[in-house]
Amino acid sequence: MVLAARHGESSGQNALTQLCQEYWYPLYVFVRRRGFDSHDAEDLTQEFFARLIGKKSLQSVHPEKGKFRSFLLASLKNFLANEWGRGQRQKRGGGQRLLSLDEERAENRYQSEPADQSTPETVYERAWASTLLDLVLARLRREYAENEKADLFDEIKGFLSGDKGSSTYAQIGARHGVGESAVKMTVLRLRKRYGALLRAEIANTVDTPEEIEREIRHLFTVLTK
Amino acid sequence: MTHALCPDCGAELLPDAPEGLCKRCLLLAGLACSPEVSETTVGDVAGLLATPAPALAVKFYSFGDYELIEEIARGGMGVVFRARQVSLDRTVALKMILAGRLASPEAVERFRSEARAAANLDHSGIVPIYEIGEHDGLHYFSMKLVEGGSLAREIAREKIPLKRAAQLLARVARAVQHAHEQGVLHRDLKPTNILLDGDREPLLTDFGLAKVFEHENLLTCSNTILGTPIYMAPEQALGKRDLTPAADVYSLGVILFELLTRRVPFRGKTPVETLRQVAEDPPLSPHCFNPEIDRDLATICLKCLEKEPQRRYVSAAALADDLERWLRREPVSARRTSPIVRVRRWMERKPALTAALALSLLLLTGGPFLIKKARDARGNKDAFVEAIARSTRQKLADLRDKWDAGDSFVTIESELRAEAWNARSSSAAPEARSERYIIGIYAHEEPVETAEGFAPLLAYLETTLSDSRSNQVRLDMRIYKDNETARAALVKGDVHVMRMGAGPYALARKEHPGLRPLARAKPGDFLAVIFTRADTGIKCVADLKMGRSFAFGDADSTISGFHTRAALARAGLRARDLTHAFHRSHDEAIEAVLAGNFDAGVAKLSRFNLIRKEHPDLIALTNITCISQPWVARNGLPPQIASQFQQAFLTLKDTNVLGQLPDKYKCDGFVATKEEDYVAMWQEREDADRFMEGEKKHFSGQPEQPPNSK
Repeated sequence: MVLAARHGESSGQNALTQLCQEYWYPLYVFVRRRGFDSHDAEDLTQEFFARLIGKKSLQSVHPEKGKFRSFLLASLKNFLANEWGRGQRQKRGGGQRLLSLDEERAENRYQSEPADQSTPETVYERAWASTLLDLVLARLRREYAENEKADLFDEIKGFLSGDKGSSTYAQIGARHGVGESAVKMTVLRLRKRYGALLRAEIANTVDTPEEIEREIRHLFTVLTK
Repeated sequence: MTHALCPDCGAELLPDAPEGLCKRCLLLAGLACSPEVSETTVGDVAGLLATPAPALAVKFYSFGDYELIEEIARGGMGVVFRARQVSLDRTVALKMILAGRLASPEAVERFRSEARAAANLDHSGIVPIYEIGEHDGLHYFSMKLVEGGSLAREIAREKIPLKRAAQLLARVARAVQHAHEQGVLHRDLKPTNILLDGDREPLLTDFGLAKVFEHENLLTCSNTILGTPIYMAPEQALGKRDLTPAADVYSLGVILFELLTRRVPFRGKTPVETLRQVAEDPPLSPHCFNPEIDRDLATICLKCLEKEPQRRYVSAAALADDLERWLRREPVSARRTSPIVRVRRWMERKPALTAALALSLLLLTGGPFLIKKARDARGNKDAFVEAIARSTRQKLADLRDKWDAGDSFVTIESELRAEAWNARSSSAAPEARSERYIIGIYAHEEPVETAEGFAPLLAYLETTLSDSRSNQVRLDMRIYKDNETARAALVKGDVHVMRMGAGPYALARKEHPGLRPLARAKPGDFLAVIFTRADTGIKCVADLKMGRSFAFGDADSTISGFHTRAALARAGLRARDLTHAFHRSHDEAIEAVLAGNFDAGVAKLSRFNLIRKEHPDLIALTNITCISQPWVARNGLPPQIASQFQQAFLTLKDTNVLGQLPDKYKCDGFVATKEEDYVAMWQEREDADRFMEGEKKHFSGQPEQPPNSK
């Protein structure tokens, strides 16, 4: 998707807008951590995306420049250093919003982040990992809901993160009158689908399939810090 | 603030944990879950087929490429699920054939070839089949999911307007025609196999599959496999192998019948009984159950339901054509079969029953001659049928002889009435749980013609009462010669319900307080008129003094019996003051006045107005209001039957039934009656008695010149 976006095709542009829509929160978090208040952070994030999308800055994205996540952060740092420094605050936003960002919710979410001593970069990456998992799980839930299986999803989602859910396969099976093997199979399908969605989402932000595993590991370590 | 801990890694679960799950564990799970994980097969889907599972339980299962969502239908053949076809990410209807339904390799092959043939049908009125396959030893096919429910549900939910019924069935017939053109018979057309899409348009499903599951002998199959033979053509119900498109046309007729009346033509207590009815009994017209159905639509329906395949529509398309003609209000091609032909066909079809019936009839009515004729006729169907028809005629003739010989009444039993006028009751064979009631009618004249006139009404009442009582109701008809005997019979309890004059009813009510009026003919009260000719010089009723002559109509009628006499008495006249005569009918009385034999007379206002157009010299002297004749029930009947009778009368709007009533009783419906309606009759009765004072029931006999009898 990044590759498509870079070629400036309209579908690529749409894909970029989509990506920005999904990953703006980590950027907002970064801006806040750099000491801006919530209003300024909103405006700056919005302006950054406006520039990014409007100026087709992605033309300058090259595979060797690495992950979209890193690219965005580098671009944002650059933007903050240059644009903000020129005091063009009044021009920002300009009423034309490219993305519909839920700023209020973002700020609430930011306030609930642990107030630790992490660097803005670390907070950015954690937020990125959270956003990614939120996206994937929301997508997974939506798929189940579309197939009228939202109730099933709630019943077995605990098994996504491990095997020590609040109920065992046998307990769930007994509760709904199905065999343990049927529960096991359903969980297996859920995990398979989750894995597929997670990888597909990461594939949007990296350039080669090999990078997917590396990105997962990286985000895991970010969350461990 | 303390947070919950991840059960797997022990880390804190922050409020932003997605779906409440540990982010790190989620990432690890993503790492662990390589796309190559393969599913092992799960064999317990069979459990879902054996018994319906709770809604959520179904969702735990997948079946090959399909993930089950919910069970949507269950039949003898298999179970249908809403399911998602994973590879194509589409929702489908997945029908799994019950294990054991395809026991032999031949059955499997038959299933596959029929399903393939059905899958090749491409018509907007047929549910498309997507895939036919086998997984885990279970055979299945998937098809387009049609979400609007089945026609059976629609029929159960609401009354379907006639137009909509005809449109629906025409569309279904077009789809069936398409299949026939591809050489596919459906063989199991029924409302549950007709689904409705979002636009409420019908789509047919399960084409040809019945054939796969047909066994050697229908009767040995349990009901759960094939259901009851309600929708089956007679030839199919009897297990004929070489079915034709006419079998599907028959089933379409049953569905049309059900759409129009919300009931099926034949339903026995057991499949075997239904089978017998389908094979032998003539269907009642749908009109009997829904008076809104006009003759053309009923005829279309009955043509589909002909027992002989060659008498039905030649194709489903011909049926669709006729329904569309009906919708456009054009004449339909189907011709009504005359009742006599229907009786004949009925008898032709059931020689065994007919023989038994004939024998009993012959023993009752015929002499040795007829019995010998019947014996000779064995093996000669036409002669045999003729013998039956003759014995029916003979029995009616015997009734007439008894009447003429002076019996005060004759009884025409439900069965004989059915035979004679084909207004048969809902089931041909008497059942153990049946109720029989006697309906009295005062007729005074030709009993057979009277019985014929009332036959459709009694057939209608029989059907409606049988329905509301869930019991077979038989109505025998007893026709009385005069009011006195009829009234006495009602008071004594010889009859259960009786049609009688308002005046006689008022009298009977005095004698037996347990009588109640049920309904009387609309428009209710009618008018009679005392009239004279201009040349008599009579100006008012009081002028009918000494020496004048007066022509009454039927002495037993309420007009002559009560109201006219009372009106004359109130004008100061007595019977002895007048030369008077009671004629056989009001019309004869009018003729007697016109002919100059009498100075004045009484007539129904409607008749009088009609005749005055020809004879402007007729003058009306006074009007007489007369309440129309009520149907009266006697108490002591089983619970509710009187009110059910009343209900049946009041809901009767069928012009075919009402239109066939004898002319003099014609009406366009019934209205409820109250006891109070008849209170005034008592005063009338006393006045009328005053008129007869001094008369010893001695009338002046026949008029001088008896008018020609009819």
